[in-house]
Amino acid sequence: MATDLPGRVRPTSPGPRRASVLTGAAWLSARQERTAFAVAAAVLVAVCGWLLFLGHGIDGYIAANHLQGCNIVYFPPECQGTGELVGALDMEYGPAVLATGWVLLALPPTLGLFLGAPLLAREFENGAYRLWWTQSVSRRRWLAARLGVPLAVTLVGSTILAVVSTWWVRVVEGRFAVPGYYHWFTWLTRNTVGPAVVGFCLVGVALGAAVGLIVRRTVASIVVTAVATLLLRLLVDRLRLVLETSQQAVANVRMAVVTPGDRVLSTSGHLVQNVPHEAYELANGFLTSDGLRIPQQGDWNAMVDGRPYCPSDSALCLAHQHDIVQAYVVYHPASAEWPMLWTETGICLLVTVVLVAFCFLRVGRLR
Amino acid sequence: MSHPIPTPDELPGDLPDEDEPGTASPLAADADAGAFPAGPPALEATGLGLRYRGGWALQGCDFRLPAGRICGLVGPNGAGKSTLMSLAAHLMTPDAGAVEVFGARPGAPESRRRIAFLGQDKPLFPRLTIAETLRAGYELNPGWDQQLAERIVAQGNLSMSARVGRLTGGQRTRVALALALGKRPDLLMLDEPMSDVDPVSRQELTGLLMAEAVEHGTTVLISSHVLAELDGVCDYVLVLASGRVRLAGEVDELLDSHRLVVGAHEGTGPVPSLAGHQVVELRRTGRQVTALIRPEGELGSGWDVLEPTLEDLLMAYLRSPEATALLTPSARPGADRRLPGVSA
Repeated sequence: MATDLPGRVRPTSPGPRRASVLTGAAWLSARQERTAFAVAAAVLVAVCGWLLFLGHGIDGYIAANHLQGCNIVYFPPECQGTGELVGALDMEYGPAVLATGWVLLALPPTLGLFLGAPLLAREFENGAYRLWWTQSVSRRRWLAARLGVPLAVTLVGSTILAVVSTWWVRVVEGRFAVPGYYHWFTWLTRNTVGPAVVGFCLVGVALGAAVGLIVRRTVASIVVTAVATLLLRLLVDRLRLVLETSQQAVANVRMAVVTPGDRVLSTSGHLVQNVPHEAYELANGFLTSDGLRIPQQGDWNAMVDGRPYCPSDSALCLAHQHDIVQAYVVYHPASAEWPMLWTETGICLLVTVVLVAFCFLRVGRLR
Repeated sequence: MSHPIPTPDELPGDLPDEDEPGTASPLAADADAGAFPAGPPALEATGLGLRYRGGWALQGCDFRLPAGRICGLVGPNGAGKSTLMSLAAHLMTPDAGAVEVFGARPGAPESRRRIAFLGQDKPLFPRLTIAETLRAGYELNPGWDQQLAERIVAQGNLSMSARVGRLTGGQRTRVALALALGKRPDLLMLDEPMSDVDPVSRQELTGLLMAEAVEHGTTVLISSHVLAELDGVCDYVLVLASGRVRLAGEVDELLDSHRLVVGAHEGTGPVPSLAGHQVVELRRTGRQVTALIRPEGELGSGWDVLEPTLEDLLMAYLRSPEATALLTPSARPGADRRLPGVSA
């Protein structure tokens, strides 16, 4: 980068040149964010260290007590008789797992708020942009340096976090009474595993920077970024399975009024057995002989033994109880997890690109 | 173009020359196109305007700053001085008209390298040390002169490892000036640079600034409230008021074309013996009348005629917004493109 032009005066000792990976605008951009990067690196080391420590402890307990196959959601037969051990594990590590999950969930937005949002806003607030713009660099070079360096650092840091976090989630998933970590699709898991971590971190920083370029005030930028991040995350959550086709499982049932309780219950057909483990249920209901779909509210409208029933508040179900021939469940199988994570990541990266492009368009038009 | 061969005086500012700021062209420059530099002017504004919250911060601004000049930019608060500099530095874009820097638009890569702008609030990175600030200058400017920048810092007895955020106002100014001069600009724009500098350092920094400008043929545009500070420093002047140009041109030429006259006159009506001359400002103290005029022919007897100081001249124009604006030929945009002798 630092090609010497003819006539350029080489700095004498003690000159400004030191052994440095970065030169030019990138150097200054990195120097401006030195404190932020140092804090972020310390947090990364602390969180990763904690994850390894906690995961190692849990792993050790599981191995020592032969609980490898014991999932508290399904509680398979080989777990019989381990209730106390599983309970003790939950007692000992449950609160730590829950707290850690929250920290992991909060890290990408936090990065967006404290690295992304002030990135450009503070430049405008304290006038540093004018110092940049009156040097021999264009506004676009300035923006490229101000965005490029933090995004590159974010990419590296969040990749490390993603690797450690993914390993840790696999250790705790389904083993604790922490709702967010029951399944691959529950909210803590789907936000703290795999490439999605990287995507959320990158989009958080880009979103904060873009907001800062519009708002131009640090505190306002942080507030607006917080709201925008929340909306974006909800949107990503909505679209995370958009590329997956859902699957349907059916079971033949015959409904009958069963006393006591006078419930309309199937006398045969165990739907649960036709839906794979770890499936993410989207809808369920009954099918009549003439093809009418009777969707049901709520999750599994089934008895403990798996027999589906008509809830007492479902008039349609009760009215057609004699025509019902099948029960159905629409679901995503566990194999949808990684496509889902990549979809989340893809949306985040797409939004990141759009936001960066917006910044470049806007900076040329700033007056 | 029918210019004669340019003298060193007329070369663009990026070439070192023996230019003596202060040698102004003769009064009859109208007919002497050869007195204009051959290269493009350091600054040229044509119909330049910037709207600001409903009003105009700058409007219909036409002027030209030939290369190699040390130009004082004068005007009351809100006259548009900072706006003009910001437009030339490409920190803002105009709503009307255009401004060119050495014949190029301010945002052009060439212009960015050639301009240095030291804003009123002197933005610096507070968390960087002075050494790091100078390194920033090195990293961002291809023509960086580290020795010069270090010398300016050293003259203020500042440690290179001092944090910029801990410096006093005057020390910050010195660092900002080191950054601006280290860039080796062809046009250096300084907005109220000495406002927070103590008188001793002020004199020293001004001297240093002028020595550097002369040595490298740098064009300087410097705004100041302290008119006395500009006297003896500037060989060119630009007066703005209410977003318009009031006065522009060579100091010597402007002083030559004005006279401060003192005489006696009763009453408050027009003074008959000044009729036929352009009166910029007229003040009465009892029977005594003091006027700054542009004489057009011989003055009648009964007047004490003095050559005004730069301060007299600037004050008169600042106090009289209704006086006709005056631009010497070299300060009129497009002047170097006209045929000699036909400039208006």
